[in-house]
Amino acid sequence: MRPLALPLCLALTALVACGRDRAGATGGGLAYYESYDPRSLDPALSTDVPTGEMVTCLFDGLTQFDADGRLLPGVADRWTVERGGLRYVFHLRPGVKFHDGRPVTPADVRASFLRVLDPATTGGRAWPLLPIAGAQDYASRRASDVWGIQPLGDTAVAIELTEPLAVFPKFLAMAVAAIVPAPTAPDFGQNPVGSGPWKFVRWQHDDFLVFGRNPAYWGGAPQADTLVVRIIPEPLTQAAEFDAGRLSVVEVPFGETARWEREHPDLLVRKPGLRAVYVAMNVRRGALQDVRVRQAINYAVNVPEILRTVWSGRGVVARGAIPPALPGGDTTRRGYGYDPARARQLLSEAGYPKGLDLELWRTATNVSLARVAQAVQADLEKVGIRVTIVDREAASMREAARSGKADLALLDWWADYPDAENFLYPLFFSGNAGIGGNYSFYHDPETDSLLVRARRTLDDSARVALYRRIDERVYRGAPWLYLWFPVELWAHRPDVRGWDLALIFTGQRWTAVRRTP
Amino acid sequence: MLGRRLALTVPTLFGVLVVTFLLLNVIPGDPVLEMVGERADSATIARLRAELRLDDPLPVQFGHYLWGVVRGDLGRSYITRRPIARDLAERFPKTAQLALAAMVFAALSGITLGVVAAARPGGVVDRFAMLLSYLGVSFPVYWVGLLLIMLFAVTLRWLPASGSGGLAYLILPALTLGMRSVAFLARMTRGAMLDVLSSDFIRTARAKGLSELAVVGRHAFRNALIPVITVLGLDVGNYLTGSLLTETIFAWPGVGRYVLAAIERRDLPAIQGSILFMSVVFVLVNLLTDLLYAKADPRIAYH
Repeated sequence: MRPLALPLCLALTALVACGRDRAGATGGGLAYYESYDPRSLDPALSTDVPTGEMVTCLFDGLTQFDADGRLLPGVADRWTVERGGLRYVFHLRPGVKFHDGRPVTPADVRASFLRVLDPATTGGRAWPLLPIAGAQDYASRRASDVWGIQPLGDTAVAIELTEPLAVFPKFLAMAVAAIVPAPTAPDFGQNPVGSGPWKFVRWQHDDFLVFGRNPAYWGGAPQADTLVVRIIPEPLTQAAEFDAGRLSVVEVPFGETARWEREHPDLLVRKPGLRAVYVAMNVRRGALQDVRVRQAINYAVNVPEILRTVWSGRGVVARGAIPPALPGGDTTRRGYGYDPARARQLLSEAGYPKGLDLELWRTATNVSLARVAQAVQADLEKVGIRVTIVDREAASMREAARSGKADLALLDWWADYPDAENFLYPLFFSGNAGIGGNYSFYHDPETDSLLVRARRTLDDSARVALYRRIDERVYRGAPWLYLWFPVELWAHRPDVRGWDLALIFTGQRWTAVRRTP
Repeated sequence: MLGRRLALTVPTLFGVLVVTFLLLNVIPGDPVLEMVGERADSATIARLRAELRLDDPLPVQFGHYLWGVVRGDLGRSYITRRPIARDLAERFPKTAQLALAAMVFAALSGITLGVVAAARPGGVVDRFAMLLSYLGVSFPVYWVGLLLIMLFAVTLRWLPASGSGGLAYLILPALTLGMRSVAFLARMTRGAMLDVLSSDFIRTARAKGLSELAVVGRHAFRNALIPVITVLGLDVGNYLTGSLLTETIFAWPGVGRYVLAAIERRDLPAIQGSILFMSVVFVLVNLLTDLLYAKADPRIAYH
């Protein structure tokens, strides 16, 4: 047996060597999870949801969102809008300190924004800061400074914009605009220092992160001592860990909706998400150039039925692009409704009495979304639209849709910030066609001018009225097959108190959450 | 002889480098588009391309990469900006731990099952062992993994469902990963043992009055080892390069998940670095397997 002796010894050694237990297992603290490892803990690299959620725990912005998506003061305790929305002055809250004890100063604000804009950072998502005057030039190395960011003494920062932008204070609540202590060390993304409610303790990649309570947090120290964030890719494993009592909260897996509603009704929390599921119809391609064909598609698909059967009923049928949780959202608007006869009639009027052929692109790895594609295909078949489903993984599919190669693309859009603007300007402004988010390549001069006007409108109720009007107008133009706004369904452990499902991922700070003994 | 074998791996690895590099440059999906997310503008995209040197001609990019590899530098991930070599060095011990645990489990139970089954072919034990191995190869890993989690982590609460840490964390993923090897090894060992047991020298051993234990355990087993080592070697090679399904189900922080994430995000240097790393591991494992052949069977020698 000698040949096996060496590998066996090695194996046994390895088994014994891994006998140390993991740091920061749940104990009395909170345990949350992400589906994949955050890109970094550096706010400048926050382009994905896990990074955004972690940055929200560790850092502060000038402004911030609460769990219901309202804009609140952050490190800036108040701000004024001057010169018709061209200039903002943010007054810093006195006494806010980074975790290393240094005070947060206007110079830190300036330096934080500059490092996001610096092309060498290669974050890729500096757009929330690009409306600042001089930011474009700095980002393309045509200027050595951003003149639109001016510290005013030790207590305030003035920010000048290139044009009025009503949602700008919301941009500053996004993770990418979080304030970091400047200058930062080269490994800042691995060992971050912020001023947020939680201090960084440890990050074992693809495994877990550990945060400790910041007792000096200006907004009130967290109730719990630790927050462990596990990285668990598989939804059923997430649910098992929750069932075993090792996660404080969990998103209810899709196929499990009915069981959880039966077994844990008291633990469930549901909220309409800031998210839209839709099929982008490329209005530049073939038959889809005709609005009647696009409307016919909206009549042909039985959306409530697909929502019920394929999506476990976890959503609200969309009659527009603005989710009902946001001001401006309207789900009572007269919708297309399921009417195959009307669809066939519109198709003949458009010159397609014998139907037509279209390609529907989808991401096969997103299982729940992929099933929707089959249901849509079946419904369209009934009115004579022969749909070929094209399966690609996410990166290839996005590239095809962005370059205009896809007739139909099944997509979902997640909010970056809670505002109707986020569901209209990127998605339907002609200047954002393709890479900007407008996968339908929708172009309508009237919509464009209304969108620009709304962005400059500082009065919130007037702005919301404009968005409602734009949404209605686009809806009639049907650049989407409007599907639904998902309702998020989560569960918390019975001993977890004070937890609320956040409408926007940057609205969860975990400060009020605790576990009862 | 070892030196020559090692030298021969260099062209293999260079070939792997060239092929991966070329393939990565023709697959659809732009790394920059993955970085900028759903909402971007062309100026940002152009800046990123320049910053990541994606606009350089391919030979220049390759030369740049090769120069790094020669100095032991696999570059930095486009997405995380962390050094890829460090990322891999962090994850490989986890993958190795799981691979070894799975192999120990598979070798012990698979070989035992096989030897026991071969001792009385057609007997109750044999039939039971072969039924077990049938089930082992037929059950999907994903399903078995989740079933083990349901039973041991949720219902009984004996073991953690996922993550890495102490020995307890290793058991379920090792069982899941090793299951297929157990089944395969059992069948392999049984077959090899039956072959050997019917050969002349075993008859001689029995004729000269050796105990059955000595015949089966010493003489037959050692000679049946060659095909078993082959299977073990191949499996170890596979396991050491990351086991995607098992790592995903059990949230095990190994190399497999790292590569998958890199592919999904079109993180070219991370994919390239991982593939090179895996090739090195595979080549070394194969080399080790060959050396073990020589140990097991004195007739095999390398010149």
